[in-house]
Amino acid sequence: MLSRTASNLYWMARYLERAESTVRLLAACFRPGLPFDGEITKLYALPLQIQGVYEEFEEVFGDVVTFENVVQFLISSNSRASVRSCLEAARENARSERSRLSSEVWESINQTWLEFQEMQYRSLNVFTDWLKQRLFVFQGAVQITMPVALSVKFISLGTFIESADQTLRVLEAKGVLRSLSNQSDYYHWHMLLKSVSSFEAFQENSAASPSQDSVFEFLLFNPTLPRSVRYCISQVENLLASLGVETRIAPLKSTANLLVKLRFDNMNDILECGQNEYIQNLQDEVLQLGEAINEGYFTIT
Amino acid sequence: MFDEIFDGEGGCRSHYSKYLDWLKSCPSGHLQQKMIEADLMFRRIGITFAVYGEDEGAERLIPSDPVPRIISAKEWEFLERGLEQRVTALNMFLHDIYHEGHIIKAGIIPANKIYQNAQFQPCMMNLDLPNNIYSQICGVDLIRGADGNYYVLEDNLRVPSGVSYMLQNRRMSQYLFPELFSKYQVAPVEHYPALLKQTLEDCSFSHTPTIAVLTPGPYNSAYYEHAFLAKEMGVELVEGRDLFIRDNKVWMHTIYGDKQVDVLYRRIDDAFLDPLVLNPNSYLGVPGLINAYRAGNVAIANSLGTGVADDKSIYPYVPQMIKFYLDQEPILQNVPTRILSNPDDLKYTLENLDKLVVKEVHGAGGYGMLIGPTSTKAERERFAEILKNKPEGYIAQPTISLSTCGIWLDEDLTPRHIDLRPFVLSGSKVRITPGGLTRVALTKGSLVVNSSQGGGTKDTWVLSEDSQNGGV
Repeated sequence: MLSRTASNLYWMARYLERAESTVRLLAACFRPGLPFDGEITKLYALPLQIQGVYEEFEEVFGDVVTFENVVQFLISSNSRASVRSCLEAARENARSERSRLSSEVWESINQTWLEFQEMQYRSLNVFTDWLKQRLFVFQGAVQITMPVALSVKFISLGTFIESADQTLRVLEAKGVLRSLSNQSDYYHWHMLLKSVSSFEAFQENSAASPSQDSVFEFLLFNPTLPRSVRYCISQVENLLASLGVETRIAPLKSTANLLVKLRFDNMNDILECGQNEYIQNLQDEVLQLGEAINEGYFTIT
Repeated sequence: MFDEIFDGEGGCRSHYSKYLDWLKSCPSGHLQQKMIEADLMFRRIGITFAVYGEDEGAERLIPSDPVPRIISAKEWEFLERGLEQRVTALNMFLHDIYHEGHIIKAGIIPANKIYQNAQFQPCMMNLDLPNNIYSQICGVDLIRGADGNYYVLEDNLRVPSGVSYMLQNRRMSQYLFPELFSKYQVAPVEHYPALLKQTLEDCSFSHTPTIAVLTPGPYNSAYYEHAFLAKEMGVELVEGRDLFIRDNKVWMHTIYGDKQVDVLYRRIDDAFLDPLVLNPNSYLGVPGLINAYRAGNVAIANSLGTGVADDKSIYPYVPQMIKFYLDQEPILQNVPTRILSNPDDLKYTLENLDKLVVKEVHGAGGYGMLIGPTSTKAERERFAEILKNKPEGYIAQPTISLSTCGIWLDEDLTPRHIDLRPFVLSGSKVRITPGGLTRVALTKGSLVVNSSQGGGTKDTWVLSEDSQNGGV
């Protein structure tokens, strides 16, 4: 497989995953009826901060951090973090590599982009449901219509790396979240779990009600939750190992180092290091892993 | 004017009678509904082409008309023979001019028309190619005149496109109107990518060559087709930046390191292939490619410099080529063409501009031409000046009224002008898929069928056997 092809497929998957994370995040933060007694604009600003585009938002809207503005910015603006930009980039990558995708996968992405452009935006809920459905179609088409060969492996690599990254972003934002309101912790953790579509899984898995410790452990270390950082990174490890004997060493090494932490650490290790710093370190390592994949497979030397 | 469906005396041509019966039996609005379905499908599949200039980057659909253009088995048998003969002679001509130049020495074509032709590639001189084939993939544009005879309008020997539309139109017809395929036995076209792959394998010195399709990239107007063909053949779709030369061989960057490429089916024009030898500003090609090619380490299809043979200044000589190389009478006719560097022809042309079509010899795609009968006086005067100053740059032909075929418009068959581009593959032998791409000028009265100028397409059916299809 061409290096450029592998790179395009990997980024296609990352962009799609990012688009989905963005709307899930919006939907979770702006859930109607969520008790909130802090300064509401700080809540609205949260998705912007998690995606690292607060300053970019300010350039467009100044300090008018309203629900409508944030939604508009993160869904339909030309910002690189918007759903529009992600879908467009994913579709461009897919179009470049359509000879490597099953027609069902290509059509699922193309259709998503076409529908997005013609969509009359009605409400965040309707939009979120629509996008989730579209991405289920994409993931389903990948699983059902494509052989588990190189194309699928690079698509999955992109999906899991981005998913790990997005989960870490959400945890990073936790500090902000907690300082926003005096309401009981339950709602914070509830919202946080919702934003990674893991609330139901948590309920099933855990006897305790959501608390800082239980949610952190769950989202970082759970071995079976599809959005936990550990699950994502062990999938990455499997994928890299299955790429064959000629596999580049650096990405595998990064993955192994990360997994040692994710497998054996617990809440004590987090507290010892300091929560923010612990998350920050993991983020750096995921970033380095992405770099190692880039250098190992995509960079033309 | 010749119509493909109706005979001009109130009846229809026999091979269309079953189709027209079927059409009558359709409830009103049926075809319209199917056209909407087709449009949605084309859009979802992303069968688009990019238009340059206006609205940069926009993707358009090429309109596809639901009424098939049907060709009888007998007629196709004739066309097939004619195409094979013509393309064989053109390849022999290319081999000849890049070697001894017998046809020039015999005084049939003036040397300057070849060696001073902008399409002539000196880097091709004395290079021996497998099977002596230069244009592996050729799209011959055929039209049918008022007399019912087919004429060759143009031989496209460089990088002809459109074959993906031929294949998608068929898929669409089968999807939308499956019942018609039980009424008619239509010769299949779906094996074109397999034939193309065989042809590409034929042009390599290697036994199991690694083949790649070389594209300028997603912004090229025919990118869809490049991706489509790569996928159908199961080969890599590469851009220039994926390739490099080492040890005078061509390699592509892959995730497992470098892999040698033996055959490039290139969809990039000659000038952009190698910045070291050709256009130095090209980023689309591969530096050193021509050297590797000349060393026999990679095959390029089509070969370089094939444009000499389809240039409009050489076109008038094709019938003589057929006699010279094959010692045969041409089966397919040329449109009678006046070469304006001949003073008599220039004089006649200037006196009859309102009746003639004047074409620039190096032009392509329907640009830089004058269609006499539909032109204004001012346009003719402007062209007359140009012709007087640069007669060698132009040819003139009588206005051949392209045959018409009904398109579905306002709940009725409405005649529009069409042409036909069959695709001829030349390797160890000549391979032709039955039919080709029928292009249709959607504007009433228009003779310009190019997709860049508002043309559409039709599915093209060649009947496998006339007796079983209501034909003669």
